[in-house]
Amino acid sequence: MARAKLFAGAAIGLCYFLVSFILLGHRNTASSVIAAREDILKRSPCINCIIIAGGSNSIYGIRTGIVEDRLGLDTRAQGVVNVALWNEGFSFSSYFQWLSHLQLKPAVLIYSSAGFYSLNESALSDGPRQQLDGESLLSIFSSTRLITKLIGKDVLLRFDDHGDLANYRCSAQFDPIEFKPFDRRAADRFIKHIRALGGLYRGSLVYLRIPPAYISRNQRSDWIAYFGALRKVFEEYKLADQLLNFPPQIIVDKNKFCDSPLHVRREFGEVLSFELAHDIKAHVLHTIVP
Amino acid sequence: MLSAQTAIPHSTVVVADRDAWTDGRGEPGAKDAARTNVKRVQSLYGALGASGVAPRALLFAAGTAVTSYVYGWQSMVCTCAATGLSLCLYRSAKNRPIARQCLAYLLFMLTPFLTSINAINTLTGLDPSGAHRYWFGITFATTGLAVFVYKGKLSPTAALLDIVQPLRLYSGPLALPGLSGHWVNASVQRILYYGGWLNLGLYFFFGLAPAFIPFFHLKHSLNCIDILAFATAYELYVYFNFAGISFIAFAILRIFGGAAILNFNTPFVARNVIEYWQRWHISLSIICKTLFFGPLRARVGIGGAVAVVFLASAMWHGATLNFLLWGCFHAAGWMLTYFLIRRHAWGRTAAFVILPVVVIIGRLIFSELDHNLLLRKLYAVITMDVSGPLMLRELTFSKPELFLIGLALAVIVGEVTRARSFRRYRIYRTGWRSIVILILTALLGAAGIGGVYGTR
Repeated sequence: MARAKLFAGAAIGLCYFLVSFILLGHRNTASSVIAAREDILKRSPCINCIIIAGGSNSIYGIRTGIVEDRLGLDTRAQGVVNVALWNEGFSFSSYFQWLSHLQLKPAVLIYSSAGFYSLNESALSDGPRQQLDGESLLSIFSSTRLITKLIGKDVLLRFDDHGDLANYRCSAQFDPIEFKPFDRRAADRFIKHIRALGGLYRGSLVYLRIPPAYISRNQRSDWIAYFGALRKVFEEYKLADQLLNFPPQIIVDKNKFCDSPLHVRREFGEVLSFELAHDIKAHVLHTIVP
Repeated sequence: MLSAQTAIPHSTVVVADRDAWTDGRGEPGAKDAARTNVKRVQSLYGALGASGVAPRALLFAAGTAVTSYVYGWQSMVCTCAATGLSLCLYRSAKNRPIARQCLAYLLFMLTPFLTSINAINTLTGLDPSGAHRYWFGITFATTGLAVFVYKGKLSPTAALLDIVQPLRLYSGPLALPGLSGHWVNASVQRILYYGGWLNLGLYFFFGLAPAFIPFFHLKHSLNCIDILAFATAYELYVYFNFAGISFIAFAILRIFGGAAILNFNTPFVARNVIEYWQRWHISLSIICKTLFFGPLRARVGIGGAVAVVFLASAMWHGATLNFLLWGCFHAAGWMLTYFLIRRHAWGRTAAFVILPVVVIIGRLIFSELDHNLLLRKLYAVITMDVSGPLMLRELTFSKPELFLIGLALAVIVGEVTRARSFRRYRIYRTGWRSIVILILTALLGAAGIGGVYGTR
């Protein structure tokens, strides 16, 4: 009896690993974004293009088709490529490694990161190392339940030919972005990351975009002070000129957002794309378009 | 050094002694072990194996390798350095009780100090990280070291193989002196017995706990109903998460011959706050009792001693205003219960009534680091303010989540009703039900957001 139970338990464990890790593999929102990005870059390699790097704020909030149209770029020679990943690849080092493998040769890099909002002491602590799709390096369970994968109910993101998000599934189940006081050490660390990106694409112009975020009305003044402190640090590092949009939009209207305080709805994303094109024109276009 | 022949009968005696600390049944296979082929044990592990050093060293090496892989090679640098330093200081203070006790309290207070200088984060339970890379597990390590130093039982073997055992640093049960693990041969019964605990831990940690994550969206609401729903759901989340990870560590440590106690023992069986704390995070309770309650009770009375215990426990979680309030609140709840039970005939009923209030409001205080927001929430609860938008209505759950919440509530109902089969979770560990639990965990388990205690 005891042995039978032991073997039954071992058999269930083995079946779980076979089905979960070998047959189905990691399949989640983040992996669907990675696959879509790699697919687009295979079809149209980025040479002298404008790349938009960063996190999921750019997946929801930037329509590359609109940006290309507004900039009037000849897309056969020079397009806009969105290489933003979910939660920015879950760690900067994984994201950086992934970007360096892609061998992009951009003329302009626009880095649009939620990291601008988390320059606080929490950014100094380290969680477990994660894979690019957010799964733990050594976890026996994935972020998506096996039953959800088996019955095909896992909702993955889909992208159009431009690499823009095609299926926005919004819900009201999210809160304003959490405010924590600005921390200088976290800002120094973040700037190191920005410089690393600049080093990866030597000869390219690097610009920084602070994505809009949904904030609590009560914390508006806190955020204004936070961005004031951020600006000072960026000025010290002589990076203030690289900020495409300052002061950033801090929004108290939840209706503009889809399912998180950094994921905007499609309509607002289109407005933001127009604004981005305008900012690019104002800051950089004369340097890359004859 | 123990030989295999002497160690195995000795281990049987130790098992009987530590029944009070563990699950009360003694180790299965202990009797078998006495009958087993001693030569086989000797040939496999030699004298070291018989005393449990080799398998524990193996577990330590494996745990360190896994931690380095997942958190980076730097992960345990400061923790190991602090352990080495503690050992050196302990050696020099070993024969001077006052110096030894001072060292023990300093070690215990290292956590609040590191929190106040932001080397490690204050605990919220909502953040999977918690320590900077170099300080991985420092809280659990120094607390274990403190009690060993206080009792004068620190040795290099205990420090490395028990206290800084990486499994414990992932929120496992804290190391306690006076327990000794012994390798008594890995029989099928032994693996099955602790496999049952491992299975239960996986079910709680990966199965039930993540189902409560959608409730976290209520954290920002100021509606009284939302606040109470969040605090209740968060209490259950912390229970399943922390108990689950503790059972996993407990089972693995015991399979490998390590000494460990059950960290949780059906806390919702409790009929008052005092009983609740006897069943929740038992290893920390024992340490606080050893370091603070025991020495202070005669000097400052039971009220003062309890207050110091809860304040020390609060500072262990984080040197912040909300934890200070949390400690005072639970100390007051404990004292009120003590007073009611001792002084009044109806005291037990009254203590039972205040239990959910103390537990749920205590959890609300625990969860909110922003003291302005916390005060607003407490005011909303006291005035029963339901004027704010009700976010509970907006929550959406998937079918597996609803099913898992139902299963979690079944655990709580089983505990509250004191069903016989729920004693020490027997219903989930024995018989073919454990296989059903395993299947449920495999199908419905999810990674979640990590342990509530993170990597502190």
